Amino acid sequence: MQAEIPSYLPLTEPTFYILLSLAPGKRHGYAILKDIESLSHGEVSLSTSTLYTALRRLLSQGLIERIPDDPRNHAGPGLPRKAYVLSELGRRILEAETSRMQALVGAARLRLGEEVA
Amino acid sequence: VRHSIRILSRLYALFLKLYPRTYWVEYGEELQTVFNLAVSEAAKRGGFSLVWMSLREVRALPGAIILEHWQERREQRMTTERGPLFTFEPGSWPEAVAALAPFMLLGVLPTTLSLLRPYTIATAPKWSADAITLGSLGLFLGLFVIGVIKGLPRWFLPNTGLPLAVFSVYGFFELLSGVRRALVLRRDPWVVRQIAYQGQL
Repeated sequence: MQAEIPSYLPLTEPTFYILLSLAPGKRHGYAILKDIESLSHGEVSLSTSTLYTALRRLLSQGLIERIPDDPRNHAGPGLPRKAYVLSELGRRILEAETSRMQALVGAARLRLGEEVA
Repeated sequence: VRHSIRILSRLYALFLKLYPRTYWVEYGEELQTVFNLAVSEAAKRGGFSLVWMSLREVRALPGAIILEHWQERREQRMTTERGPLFTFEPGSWPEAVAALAPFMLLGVLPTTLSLLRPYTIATAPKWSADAITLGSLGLFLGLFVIGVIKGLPRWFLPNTGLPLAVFSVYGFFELLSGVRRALVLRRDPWVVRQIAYQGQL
């Protein structure tokens, strides 16, 4: 499976944020939307349909799983009854993408630092 | 504001019906719930926020619906329904007929019709020739499209071979004409001219 990870990279910005949002634990659709807005400081604001198209694709790729949400976790009425959770593969891909971006930023910092010096 | 929320929610419910049925059954309720929550929160922030959020949803919906329909059709093609119709056992009669179809449609049929022409010209309506030609080409194109969709199976190969053969006749003709102009029309040795003009030494 490890050999397959590079084929998923690079992740699109919404995909990265969705996986990142699910990293701490399971969330339902609306919580993912709000968390993405918060993580991106309002820069990324997904529509409902865009979110669910992405979620369905990630489900089919096995990067996330769809589970019944615990009714006791409902903060209010009308919250979705299904929640999403990061799979083991999804977590490895998120880590691989983070490392890839770290390497890019590191190289850029190094070069820009050289130029300033 | 509550009235606007209710209208938007109902409109969204109508739009959700445009998704493929299986998708709507699986995710429809969840999408509606998330939309209702998003609308309620946008409404709390004010009218501008509500309009902006609605525009964002309206902009994203058509693409998402088309994508899901395409995905659904793709999954159906890979698994059910139209699969067995053009999935033949290797070496079976249906496979052989499908493989021979382009030759029958583009080779045998026009020749047969032209042979029968003296006998049918008085009785057949004028448009029948055009109809047969268009029908043959339509069938050929249909087979071609089905073959491409089904991932170029074995019976499909003549569908690519026949057009390639037809094009190569014209291609080689042009190529040989070019060679002839380049080589033969000059004052070449007698032997070269004999080969090029007459194909013999």
